[in-house]
Amino acid sequence: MKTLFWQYFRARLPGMLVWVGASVVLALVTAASAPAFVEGGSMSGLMKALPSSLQAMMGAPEGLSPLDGYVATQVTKNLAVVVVLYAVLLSLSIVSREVDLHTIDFLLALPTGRKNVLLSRVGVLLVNTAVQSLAIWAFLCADLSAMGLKGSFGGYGLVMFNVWLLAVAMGGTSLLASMWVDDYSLAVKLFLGLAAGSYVLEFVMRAAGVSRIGRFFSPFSYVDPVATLRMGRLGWVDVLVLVGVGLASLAASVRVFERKQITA
Amino acid sequence: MVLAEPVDAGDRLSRLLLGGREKDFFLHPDVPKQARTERLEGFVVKLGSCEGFCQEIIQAPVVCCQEFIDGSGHVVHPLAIMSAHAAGGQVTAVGRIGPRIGISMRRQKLGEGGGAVSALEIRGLTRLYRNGRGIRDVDLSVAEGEVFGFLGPNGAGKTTLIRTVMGFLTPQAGTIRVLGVDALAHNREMRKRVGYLPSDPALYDFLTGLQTIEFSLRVRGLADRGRVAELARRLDVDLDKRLKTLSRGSRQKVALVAALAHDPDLLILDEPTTGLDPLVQETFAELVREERSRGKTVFMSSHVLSEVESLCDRVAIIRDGRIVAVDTVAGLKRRRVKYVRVEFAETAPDLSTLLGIRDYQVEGNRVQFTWAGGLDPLVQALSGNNLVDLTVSDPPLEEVFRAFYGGGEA
Repeated sequence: MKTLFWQYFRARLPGMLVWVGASVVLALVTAASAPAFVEGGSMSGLMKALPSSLQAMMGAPEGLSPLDGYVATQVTKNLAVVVVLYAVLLSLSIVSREVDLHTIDFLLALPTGRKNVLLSRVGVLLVNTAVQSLAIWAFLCADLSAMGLKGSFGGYGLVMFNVWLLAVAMGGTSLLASMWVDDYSLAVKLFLGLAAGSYVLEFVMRAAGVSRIGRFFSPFSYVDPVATLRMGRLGWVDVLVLVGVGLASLAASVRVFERKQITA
Repeated sequence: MVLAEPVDAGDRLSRLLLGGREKDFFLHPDVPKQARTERLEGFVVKLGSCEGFCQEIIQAPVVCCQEFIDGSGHVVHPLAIMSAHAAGGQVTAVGRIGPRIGISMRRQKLGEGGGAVSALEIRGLTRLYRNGRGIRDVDLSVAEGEVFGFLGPNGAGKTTLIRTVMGFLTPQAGTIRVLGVDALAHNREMRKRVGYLPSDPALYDFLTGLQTIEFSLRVRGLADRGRVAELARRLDVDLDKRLKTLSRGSRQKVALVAALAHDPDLLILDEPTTGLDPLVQETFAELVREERSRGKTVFMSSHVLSEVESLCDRVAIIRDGRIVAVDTVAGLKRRRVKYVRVEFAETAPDLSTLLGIRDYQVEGNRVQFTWAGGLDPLVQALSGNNLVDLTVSDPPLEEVFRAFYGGGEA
């Protein structure tokens, strides 16, 4: 299993570096824009002037410091979706891409179980998205700190952990669904489209004032940076749902993959 | 193989067959006086010269018991063999021998009840796709040490069968035993001892050939890559280049090295020479022959008839997902069709209406055609027509193959 993990990690390393690089740039841009949104900044007044529905959509939070509020907004708006998209793409390369390129034949001819193959690749998904989330958090905090801004840096870490859990859960469900889509390019279009769609849906529902319970089917509703920063901990329901979905989809993926018919 | 002089059983041979480990035995011609037919089942037999002990006059082994028994099921006395030569791995000519010709036998693993263990045993295997294509009720048995060809055009079911054996597809019915292991229940165990080369193999582009093979060996828990350099040298492939920079043929070679690197007991090759240039095809043929001489089993699908004819001990022909024939190449040729040329003293009579005639051509008083079936009806039809000359010859394998696909039952 270790050999399988490292082989796949190596295969996905260039991709991870690109995604982490892009995410770090996004984190740095987010940090660089922070002064304009914090109290006294030029954008602060504009935000307050927005209708409440738009404020809700943008995530204008109450009860948080301006910097924490800004970061919470940006995590929901930009940073979470980047990690989720990467996780979905990685999940599709685990089986769908290998089947499409027929490299799965080489892999499955080796004396190792399909479960090992799948778990080693899921391990890479976990590690790579964790590295991405960690890099976003580290560079965001470092840049804010360098600008003399003080926020709940520990809380931002919890938020990014929440984002990682969301990415793993959505990656897991994409992995499970991709078992039935052997055409990799079709799978990419389909599942990235679904991820992006659910992201947009979350904002639309927020703007429409749909309650949290009403958004239970929206994956992005399970990342709530405002609540996390306000409480100083993750919401247990969010964590339980995301971990539960992740584990259930992984278990189902193993089961389906072990029975999957690999045609020529 | 022409057979003669059935004999009865002998203790020495029995001891050799049932006793020692897998190795070559050399028997002086006056030793194996007796042997029971069932005791020979699955053994690899070589003809050899006593002069210089194991200096064999035939390198290619005779593969199966049926090659070694006559029509009534009796074992042929080796002393009956006078001259023999290997042609594509088959003993094609035999006769009475002198005292200098001997025989060696390779003992193979014996299963329960003393019978030989087949390298591949398929029973009632069915794997159908939604469109109704696939394989139906396939029975096959490949003996250890045998090179077995699997012939059929595209879409006949060759790849489906191989992928089912490898565990990529689950059969709807049937059993598969590979090297004595239930391949459906213990597929992972089975794959330790199998080398597999898919048709049009796809490998990881970001790896070099060597990294690919090392990865394969590491997963198998093997550190020794002693064979790799030698195989790469013989196949003339640079293992240090990234696979994405290699041509299709070179990738095929890397995949072949990867399939052979762990010294598998059974090689399953799906159209192995596709994409290889003729020189490398020759090297491939040498490798297969060497594997066979080392007691390894090779199961290869192909639609290149000449390749199968030159390499394989036995051949199965698959048609529309069903096995329509399993025999030696020579056997297939013999039993199916023959080329016939007839010359008459006068104008040739019309034979075209005879059942069994195909490709009928007349040139004056000469007639040539392909004949399917036994020769008795033909000889009867020809008699009384002032026959001047009659030539009956085996057709090339292509014609045999065409006969199986041209219509009718095998």
